[in-house]
Amino acid sequence: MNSVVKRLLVILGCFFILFSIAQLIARNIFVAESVQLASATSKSDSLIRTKQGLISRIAELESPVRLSEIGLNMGLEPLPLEKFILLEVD
Amino acid sequence: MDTNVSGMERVSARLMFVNILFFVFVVISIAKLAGIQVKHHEEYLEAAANQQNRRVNVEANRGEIFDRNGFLLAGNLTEATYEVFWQNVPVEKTEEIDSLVVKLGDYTDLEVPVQHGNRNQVIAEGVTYEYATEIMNSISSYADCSFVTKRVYPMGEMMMPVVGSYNSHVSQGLERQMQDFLEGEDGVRYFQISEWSHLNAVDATADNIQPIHGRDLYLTIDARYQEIAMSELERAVEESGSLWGAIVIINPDNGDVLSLASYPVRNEDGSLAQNHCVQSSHEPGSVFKAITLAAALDINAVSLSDSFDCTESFVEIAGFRINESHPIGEFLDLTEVIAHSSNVGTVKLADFIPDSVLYQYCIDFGFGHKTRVDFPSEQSGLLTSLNNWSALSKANLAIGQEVAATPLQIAMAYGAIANGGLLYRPRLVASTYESGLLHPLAESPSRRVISEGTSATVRSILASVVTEGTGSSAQINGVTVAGKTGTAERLVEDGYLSAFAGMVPAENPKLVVVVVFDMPDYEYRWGSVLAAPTFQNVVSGILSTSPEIALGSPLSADDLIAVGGEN
Repeated sequence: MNSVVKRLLVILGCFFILFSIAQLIARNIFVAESVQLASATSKSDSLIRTKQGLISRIAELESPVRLSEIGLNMGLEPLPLEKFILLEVD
Repeated sequence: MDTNVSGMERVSARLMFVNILFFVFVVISIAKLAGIQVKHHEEYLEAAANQQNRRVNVEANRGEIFDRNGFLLAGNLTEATYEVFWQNVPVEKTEEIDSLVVKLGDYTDLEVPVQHGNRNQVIAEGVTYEYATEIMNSISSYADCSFVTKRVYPMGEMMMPVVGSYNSHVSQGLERQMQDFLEGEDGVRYFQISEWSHLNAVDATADNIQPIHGRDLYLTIDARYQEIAMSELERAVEESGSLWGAIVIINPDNGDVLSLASYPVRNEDGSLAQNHCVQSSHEPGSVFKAITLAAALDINAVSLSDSFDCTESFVEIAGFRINESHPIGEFLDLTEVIAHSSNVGTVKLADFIPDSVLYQYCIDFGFGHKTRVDFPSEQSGLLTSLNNWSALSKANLAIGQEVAATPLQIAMAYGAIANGGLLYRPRLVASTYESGLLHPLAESPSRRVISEGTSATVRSILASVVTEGTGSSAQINGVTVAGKTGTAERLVEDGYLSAFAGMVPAENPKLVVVVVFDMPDYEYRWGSVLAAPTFQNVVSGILSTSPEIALGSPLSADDLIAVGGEN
């Protein structure tokens, strides 16, 4: 067999092996990223739900009804209008 | 030698047998493989896919609703429910359920040791998402934990008349009106399942569809004003025995609705009651005299110096008598007619306005037509068509008796008087929030209904109603008030309707407030007794929160200083 043909076959063989290895690596990366994506998606959903719960809790705490009740209990009624004076207006 | 030959033959025969066996094995294997790979290819492929792939519905979040200051009015909350299927729980494993019950603490009513049952049993509901995820890895495999996202209203009942409510069966109020904005579109996500759950993978090659979350809404409503209005309404309705009460607060400069308070919030059966600000119309009574006055002044039919004979306590129209509610017995000028709410004087004032002109002004001020506010089941009110007018119609209309209007319609009409003559379409939703961007909605369109001069004159006359007329109980220290009381006899049922429509500050109004009570006890029937003092309390409360309003121009807090001391 011609030496050129032999070399060509060796190169082709190496190329095939390298291609297979690259395929395996790519496939592994793809699977690993897919697993990461699933994990990140789950964490994101969880954080969104937690955030919604916290926003709702903040709203309850900041509710004007609650604040005015607390204020009244502490004897902190709003000042009547005549207690305000205008210092300067352009 | 013979022995060797026969031995070779035996070996050869055995080899042949092994070869045949191997050949048969290979043939059977190939046949089997062909059966799996070719004949049953689709069947096995489907079985593998069913085992490995999962299709998960990804629920879109419903948009949240905020007030103008960013207070959350309607949001979403995910909670966990724990359930035990006792039939699957061996008696010796009951301790695991005991352990879960201990962990759930106040979320469950059960006490340990838990009695082993033979049915499904919900052991805890409403467990916060945070806590459920915290104990997720330590709960018994015999208990099932499921998550449910529900709609929550952190401000409680006071916002219900505006926001309404939403669940899978029914939606009301803004939740219903803005359904298309709030509702999202569910998505789909495909997973490849592993035996080890932490190695589950998203199937990126599948047709995953991202959920489209609903748009958040930012309203023009101010939760602080709504709270003040609701608490005043509750107190006044309970005290006066009224059937219902309603308070509308608007910004006359742009038509933004700041409060739509309606009480009671719920019907006797627990369902949400209608919002009377928008969903019921009534006879406005003397509050409507401001419209008659505006029409007469705008066409220059009368002047401030004109006087009207109010010596008689009635006026006769087509054989019918229209009586004064408070006999006056003297000549009154234009300001006094309105300040003392003279029916006789107003009917005589209307005589100077041609029928078609008065009718057109009523139309222009928005009566008889829906305001087109973003709220469901809005009433259009009632304005008798000019063709159907009787001889008495103009006189009745002039004093607000042959007309029906919603409190919001009255507020928008008074808004035009307040802002120099422009009638706005009321705006309830200021902007939407989507994909991290705020999209302001268009400002309300307006149309001119009276001149600026007419508007200023009507305001000054309405201010005299409060300083020296029937609206004196609406006076507020530190700010000028313009407004009109109203006491209407109900057409349909016996009873009265007490109302007050006013604005502050009178010179350059920044707030228009309309207060209406239906069917109060007899001693509370006058607008000056019930509605005007309620107006006073509501506006005083608002001015304590936003004192810059009293100055008539929006100012920053730096321009104002609170002087301390005893209240």
